[in-house]
Amino acid sequence: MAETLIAKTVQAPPRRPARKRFGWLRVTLAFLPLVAILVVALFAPLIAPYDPVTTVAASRLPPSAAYLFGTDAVGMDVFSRTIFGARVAVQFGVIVALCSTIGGILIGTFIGLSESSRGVVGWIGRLLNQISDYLIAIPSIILGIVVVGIMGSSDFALIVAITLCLIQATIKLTRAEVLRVRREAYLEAAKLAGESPLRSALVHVVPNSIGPAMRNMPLVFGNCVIILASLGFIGVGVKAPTPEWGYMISSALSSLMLGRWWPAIFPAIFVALSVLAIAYSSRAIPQVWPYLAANVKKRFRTERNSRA
Amino acid sequence: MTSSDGTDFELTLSAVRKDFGRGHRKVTAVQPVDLRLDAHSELGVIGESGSGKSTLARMIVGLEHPTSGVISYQGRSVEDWLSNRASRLAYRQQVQYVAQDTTSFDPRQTFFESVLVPLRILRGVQSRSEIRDRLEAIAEDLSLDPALYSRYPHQVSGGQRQRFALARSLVVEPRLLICDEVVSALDVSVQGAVLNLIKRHVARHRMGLMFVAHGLPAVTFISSELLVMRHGEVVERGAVDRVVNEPQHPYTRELLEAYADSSSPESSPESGPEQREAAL
Repeated sequence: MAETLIAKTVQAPPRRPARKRFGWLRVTLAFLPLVAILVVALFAPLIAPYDPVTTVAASRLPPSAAYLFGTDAVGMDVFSRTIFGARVAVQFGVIVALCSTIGGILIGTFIGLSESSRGVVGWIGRLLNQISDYLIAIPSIILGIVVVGIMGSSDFALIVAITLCLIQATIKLTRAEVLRVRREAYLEAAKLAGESPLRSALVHVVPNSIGPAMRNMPLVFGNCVIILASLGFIGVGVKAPTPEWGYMISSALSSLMLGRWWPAIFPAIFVALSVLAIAYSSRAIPQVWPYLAANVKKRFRTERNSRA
Repeated sequence: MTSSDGTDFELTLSAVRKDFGRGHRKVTAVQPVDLRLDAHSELGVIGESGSGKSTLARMIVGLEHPTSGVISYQGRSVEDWLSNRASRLAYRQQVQYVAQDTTSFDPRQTFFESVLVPLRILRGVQSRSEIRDRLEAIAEDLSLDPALYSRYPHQVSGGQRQRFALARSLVVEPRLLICDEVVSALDVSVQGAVLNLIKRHVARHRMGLMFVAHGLPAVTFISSELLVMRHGEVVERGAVDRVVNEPQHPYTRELLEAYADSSSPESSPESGPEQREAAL
């Protein structure tokens, strides 16, 4: 007994600490949830068995083999609608994430560079900074209702509303980085090399300060899914027949009271799952990013050197 | 247009003064100073931290604006030179400034990308082959391996980075080169090498030099005229030999004694033996 114990302790290979066991597996796992949502959204017509906006069977059928998630009050297939709902959520998520990241980076850079300067430019910068401070004080639902109320209910209005709700974080993250970068000596060197302020801002300031904003991008995506569903739930979201999760839940609430749970529960699960998946990916991707970047860069570098 | 044909220039500072802050927090970084630089100048500026020597250098290239007084280049004020694009680029091409160089390269650009920018903007060189030739020439001049151009700033040593900073300024063939603490962050043996490179290049291309540093040996090695600054004031000026051998001001004497006393390596940032000879 003692011998075997000793033998075991001697032969046991030293386990490498978990953090060091980086690899393509971790990279895959980090991206998997996000990619899964994107795949569902992209291939919705292939996955969904029925048209999401037509009546395909009797109304209020419980889940069965033919209708996986049952049918809703007007006889539309809940499974197909839920799958297409992912497509709507992803469309809005991607557009809003791009708008608020690009817009936030540009506005944040402008604020950061102009903030302490005199004259009209500095004044505009400080005004924008104040406005972005106030934006976070307004609850996103109310902001959404107001914007949709002013602009009328359209996809464009919704994108503007959700972007306004979410752009603040990106602006502030970028501004903070720009305030750091603008003290760097290479901006002085760029000035002495004859670069114009605009060129210097785009070539040096922006690339060196977008990091936090980029890491924030998946979170914007996830928040957009929540806000879109909330707005849909209170009836100012995407218009009716379009399969949108929030609206599906709210329109199925009354039948939920009567014991027909499937038209409300499944979209709700998908909202929760997609937000969780995005949140997971947005935490995991920055962790594997250095590994990924190092490997991709190495590959890229060797290719470029072999060409040169 | 080129400086290497020995075209002369004249840069004068008259009663140039610089204050930072206002009211009771006002600090005078540079007391009114008069100065004249031309193509034959090898001016060393020495002083302790906060003596205003860097501010003086930075005012000449327009990184700081003088509170009062006029800096003029070729009879035209620097403010005027920098007021429109064409003359600003011309001035930047002719008067270049190199700073102490630990962070003056964008970490996301290779040295190739960084060094070609002034060549393109200030000299209007567009053809790729010409850019490549000139970058290689300047690298050889500064004994840099041209292969290092594809590296990023964090991938080379401090001495190499400093030489790339010099390359970035010298590649446009300026008439006046202002070096601000360019060797202060380097270790002793590298300092000597960089100083020799600067001296050789400046002599070969007959450009004016203003060399700002806090270390006496480096300044005395590279310059023929010396300006000693303290608390924003020029306390002594004159030919290097004169200042070193018969210092007039107590501070200069103190400074010289400090270097004469120190034989320990960490307190005397000298370089190779040839430089020690030149210095003392």
